[in-house]
Amino acid sequence: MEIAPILKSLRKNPVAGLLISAQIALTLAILANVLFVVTERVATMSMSSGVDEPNVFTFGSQNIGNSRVPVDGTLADLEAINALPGVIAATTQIGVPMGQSGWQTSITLKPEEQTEGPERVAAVYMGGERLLDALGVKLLEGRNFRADEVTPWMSGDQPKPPVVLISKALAERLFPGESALGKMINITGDPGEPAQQVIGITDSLASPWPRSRNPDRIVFVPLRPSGSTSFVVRTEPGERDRVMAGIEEALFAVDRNRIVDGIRDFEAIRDNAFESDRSMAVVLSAIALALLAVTAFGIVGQASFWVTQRTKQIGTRRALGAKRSDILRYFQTENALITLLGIAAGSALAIAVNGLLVKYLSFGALPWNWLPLGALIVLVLGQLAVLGPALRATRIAPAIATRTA
Amino acid sequence: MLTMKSLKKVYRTALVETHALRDFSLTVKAGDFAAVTGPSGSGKTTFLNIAGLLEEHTDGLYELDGINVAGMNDDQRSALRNEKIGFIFQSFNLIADLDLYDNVDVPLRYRGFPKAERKRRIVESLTRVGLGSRLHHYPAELSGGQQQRVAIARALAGTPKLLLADEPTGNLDTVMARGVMELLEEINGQGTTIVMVTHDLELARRAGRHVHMVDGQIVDIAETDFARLRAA
Repeated sequence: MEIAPILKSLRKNPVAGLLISAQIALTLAILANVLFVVTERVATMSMSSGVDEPNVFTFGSQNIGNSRVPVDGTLADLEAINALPGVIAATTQIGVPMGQSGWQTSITLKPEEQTEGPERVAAVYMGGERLLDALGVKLLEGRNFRADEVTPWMSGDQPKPPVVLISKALAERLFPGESALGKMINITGDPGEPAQQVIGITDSLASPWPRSRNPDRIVFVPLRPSGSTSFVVRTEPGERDRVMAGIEEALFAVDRNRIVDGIRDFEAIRDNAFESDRSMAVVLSAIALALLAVTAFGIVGQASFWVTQRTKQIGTRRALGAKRSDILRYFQTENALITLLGIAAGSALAIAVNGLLVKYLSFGALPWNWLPLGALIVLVLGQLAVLGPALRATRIAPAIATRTA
Repeated sequence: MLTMKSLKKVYRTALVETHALRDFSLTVKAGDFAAVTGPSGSGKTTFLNIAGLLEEHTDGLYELDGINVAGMNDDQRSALRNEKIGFIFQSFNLIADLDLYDNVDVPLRYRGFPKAERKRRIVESLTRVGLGSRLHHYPAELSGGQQQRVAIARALAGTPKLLLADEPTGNLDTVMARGVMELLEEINGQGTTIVMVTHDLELARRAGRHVHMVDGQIVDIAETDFARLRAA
């Protein structure tokens, strides 16, 4: 390997090599952070909702005028929907995983306890005794709500049910190392005696806001939203689209004085929930690719210039016994050394950039193993970029050495 | 050392065919000092390129140190060139970014010598040309004559059997040219075969054999009593 003479040669004429190293350093600093952020966003986008996604859809129904008693009307609607062929369960709801709207509350365990900040925050899901079935969420311990425990809920009511279900993550947070079953909690958000008994623990599921700090802490309350409200329906596998297509007609058969809107399958709910993540991932990926392309073109340009500038030198090396592979290796080694210098500077810069992102934009801290990955990418990029000019150099005839010009 | 029989070299383009060497036959024995002269376009450089395995001939026989080079691939030619031939170029062809030590090291690295062996050869050859105290100077810090001495040291470091010199004094003034020529004579006196292409008839006459070319053919070969001339 010609590392020592290549290094000496680069030291003798440092400017061009340093410029390429600086470009590589900048690329690595940005690339490592971008890769990390994009991967984090992609991981968030693919997080589990806990819902039987392929078979679930939601919609809203707005009553027009006062043609119906809200509570009775809702019961009639539910009866009609649950009777549809292919429907497993339907219920009115407030708050579905990833739905981007709903309630949240702070939970306390003692009367005098004050809760501030996100530690005891949980999303509140309202629905009837069929909510778990309608979402496809499993009950891990305890029991579901009985029909007689479910009460109608109208907009403006304060939820103060005697019993609740909570998600596994919330149970572990509130009662670490012990069973939450039978425990009393206060879900009202106001100081006071805990008055809600935990009667069941559900499997993990997401909150309506999957990017929130604790996206898996959920409380189910036995309140059935009534009147103009939203519904969630779960069907047999393969039946969802057919049921969705017929839902408006089924509800009009109960009462035509209504608007049925927002009929969405779960893919649409998920897409909507992660729209900003997806946009950011796409934009950042495009920036990273553009940056890599600019760096690659920079390397190609510099290496091409060097090949032209060193034509006589390359011919002389060939005349003195260099094989074509020696010439190729020379340029690859030179590029690798320049890139390694860039990687060293870029790694420090990447950590510094990440520090700023963490401090000012609340990004996650860059794990150390992203740097070797970024370094590998720029190293491979450098080797690929230099390959074309280096192969051109190998085609320089040794006879060029005897030309005097 | 070098045998060429009925050698031809033809350069072809879409429009024209140029016969650079025609029926070229020459034998240079081990220990000879041959000078090749001729006007511009006579084929001197083509001869040198073919002799130095920098180009392939079109037809005929070329044996270097008993090895028929026809049909060798590029790597084989490179390896043979590195082992058997030392080059001295008119414009020295030193690498400006490398000091004298590293310049002389270039062909030795391609030979694959271990580091200690390379160091011994570099110091020895630079000392032989009178530059042993300037190992870490750069070419730009030397005179033209000194640079050509470095090139000679680089050519000698691999102990080649054949030294090919392409106008070795072409870029030097008279005093420096004489010094370089004396060095080449000394090297030849120690047994290295030298083939030198030159315009300078006076230098050519100092060689043991003087080959004159015109239009790609040898038109005259003159033998000189080299020892007598040098003594004079």
